[in-house]
Amino acid sequence: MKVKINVNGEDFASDVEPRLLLVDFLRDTAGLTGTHVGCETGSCGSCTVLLDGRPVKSCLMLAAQADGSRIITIEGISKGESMNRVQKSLSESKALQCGFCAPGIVITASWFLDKNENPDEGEIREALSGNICRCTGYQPVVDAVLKASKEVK
Amino acid sequence: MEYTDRLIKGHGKYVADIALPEMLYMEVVRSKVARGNIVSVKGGISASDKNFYLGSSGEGYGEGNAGVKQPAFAEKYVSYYGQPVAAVYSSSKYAAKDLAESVEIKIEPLEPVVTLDQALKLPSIHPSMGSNRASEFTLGSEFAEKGDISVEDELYLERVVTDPLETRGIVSLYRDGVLNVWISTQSVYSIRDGLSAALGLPRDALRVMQADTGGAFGSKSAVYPEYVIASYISMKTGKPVKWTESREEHLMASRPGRGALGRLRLSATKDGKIVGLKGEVVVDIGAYGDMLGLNSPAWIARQLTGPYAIPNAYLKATALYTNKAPLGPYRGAGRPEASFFMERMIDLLADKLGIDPAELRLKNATESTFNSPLGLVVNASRQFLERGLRETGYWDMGAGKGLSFFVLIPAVFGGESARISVKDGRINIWLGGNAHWQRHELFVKKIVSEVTGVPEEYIELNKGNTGELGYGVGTWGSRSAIAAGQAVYRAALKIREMAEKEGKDVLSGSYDYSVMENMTLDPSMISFLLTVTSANLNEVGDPVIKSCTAFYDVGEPLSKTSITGQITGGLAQAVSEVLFESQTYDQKGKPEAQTISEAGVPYAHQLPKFRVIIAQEGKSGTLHGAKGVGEAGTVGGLPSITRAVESITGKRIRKLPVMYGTQ
Ligand code: FES
Ligand code: FES
Repeated sequence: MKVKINVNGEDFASDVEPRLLLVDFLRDTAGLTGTHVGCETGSCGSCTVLLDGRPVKSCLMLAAQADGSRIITIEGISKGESMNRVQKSLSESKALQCGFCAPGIVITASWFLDKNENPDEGEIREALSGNICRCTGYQPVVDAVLKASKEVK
Repeated sequence: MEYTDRLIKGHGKYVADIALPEMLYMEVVRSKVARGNIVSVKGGISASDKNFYLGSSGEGYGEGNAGVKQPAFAEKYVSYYGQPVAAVYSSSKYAAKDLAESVEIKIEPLEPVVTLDQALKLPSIHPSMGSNRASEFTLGSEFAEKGDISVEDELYLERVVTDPLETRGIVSLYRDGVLNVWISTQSVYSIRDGLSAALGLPRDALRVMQADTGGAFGSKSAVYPEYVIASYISMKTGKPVKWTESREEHLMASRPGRGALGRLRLSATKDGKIVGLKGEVVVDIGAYGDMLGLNSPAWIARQLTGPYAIPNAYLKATALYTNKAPLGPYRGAGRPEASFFMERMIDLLADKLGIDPAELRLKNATESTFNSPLGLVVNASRQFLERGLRETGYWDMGAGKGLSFFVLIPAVFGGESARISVKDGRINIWLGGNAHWQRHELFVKKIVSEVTGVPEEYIELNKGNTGELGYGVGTWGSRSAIAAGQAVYRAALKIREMAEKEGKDVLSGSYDYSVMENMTLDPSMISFLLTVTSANLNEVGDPVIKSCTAFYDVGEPLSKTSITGQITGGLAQAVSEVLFESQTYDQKGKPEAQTISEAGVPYAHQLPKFRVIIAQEGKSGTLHGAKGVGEAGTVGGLPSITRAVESITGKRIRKLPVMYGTQ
């Protein structure tokens, strides 16, 4: 079936199998491998992207369901800047280790900070409750997001 | 650029991101029973076409490999749920999955050996073996028990799957007589040597290149059947072959850790001086044993006296085969088992004697270098403990507190290699213990910069690559700072010397130097870990961890960011392992956790704030003075968190995790 999905401002039109997952469309059809697959069951958040402005887990959706929508992946999250404030803060604090979780955490945390002015540590932990980071124990990541929240957008 | 900037922008190149022209996708068809005889396999490639046998490589590697070698494809019978029986491939990922569905496997099921009791009572799971006893050891010597009182208990740690966020994966390409392998791994050498042994290829016909590696925690050191099969398919077809493990496969068929039982007995005087330790350690090594599995019970037993001066000890240690995925290392690999067993016993003794657990530990901590009857040599630990109890605020804590005090023994065996190349005004480094992004670059750059005087921005740490550095060991067992650090230090000294000889500034010359640094464990490399935890109960009466403070001896701190991150990561894994993380098996030997949430991998909102106090108790006898750190959090965390939960619930804890299926 034919689908057209706008990813990071660019249209990708393709004839796809009805069962093709959105995450596979992004990674294989659009060639944007920054969106990761960690669990395939919606639990880890590695595959998180913004669909029409809202975070979704792209391993739980079909490409067909995203037909006609606008998607932002990690490759497009910084809006032309080199990095947005969450990315900068993660970079400066050297919070990450293996980095596999980074794309999903950056998308989720960026969306959350756009909606929430002055979150506390507990709220940040709740906001990340659909993202797994197996390496850091979260403390350095939570600290970095808290710091980013204090930066002007 | 900060190396993770690439990853933060989504520009990492993990193995799943590799796409080569004409690439084939492989899928593995697995056994859906834990034990049975294979009647027929229709479709795909299987043992009747070609088979290979896995040797021992990776963590715990040693000479020889007793017992039964694991075949790449199950042959005649299957011995664990998820064992590879056949493989298929196609040029499309989805078509390969369809092909896998079409393979028909008929297995006549047999009653599986699931528990340790069954392993002892039932005939061997392998017809070629006399019993399920895979290995047996005795440590220390028999002694007549003295003292006024004794306590005994049986303790058990459930299996835990490592669950790095990136699953396992490989791309193999056999071309012009060379097998090129891109892989997510803790050691390109272990992969090269393991593949070479299994496939019968000379080592120099393999080139193994590490892809960005998304965590490992032990499960990415060994060679697995899938790596051999993917490489074989590439040799057969001449095309690149990619295999990406699904999370479901990871949970059923990667190598999990723990699964260890301790039956221990402590004898002591009335005033709390421990005079004897007896008992046994039994490890469930699953269906096949490599050196790591076979030696694991002895390795756990040997560490049991930890930082304590216990004059008499006598232990039996046994590894048993069961119909489960083969045991592998999970962060700590034997160390957390030892600390959990011993610290649980000391808490029990403290309760029985009515002495504060910290007082009891102070009473038994070593006051000078101590040769344990089990073969461990540790330095004086008492002063460190005193200092830690003060600095963590232990004495002022209220109800629900837990304390643990143990040792971290780094796996320096085998030493490590490093290569430094200076060219065109830049320094490139390769380590035998290839970093899988635990932030090794922070301490590596620091060492090289300090020794050569070259600023860090001119220095780059590269991923593992057998073509760039031909020999090495790997990254595991809290060895990287010590062993890789020492090798890179040595290489940096040599580069500086080469430049001095030419009277040149390092960066203006062109130098290349590789070194293999041999190392043997000495007590200066062993760190002390003091962990203090506080717990309370939530509205429904379940225990919640409030805070957890690590006071860990790291020797000379090479990079505080890296050390802190390693410790908080380990403590997080300890919290979930105590509370809810595990892989359990039903009566038929089927793994019960099939998703990452069922396995209990923790989220941010389930974890406390961690506090890390980087302590220094002397330096190790290495060039840079650092000690190990990677596994400190699980070794120190498990018993301390367990005790905090025990204190707040008032119920003795013998088995982890505390809450099954409540995640
Ligand atoms: S891969 Fe989609 S949530 Fe884990
Ligand atoms: S840094 Fe490895 S999963 Fe987050």
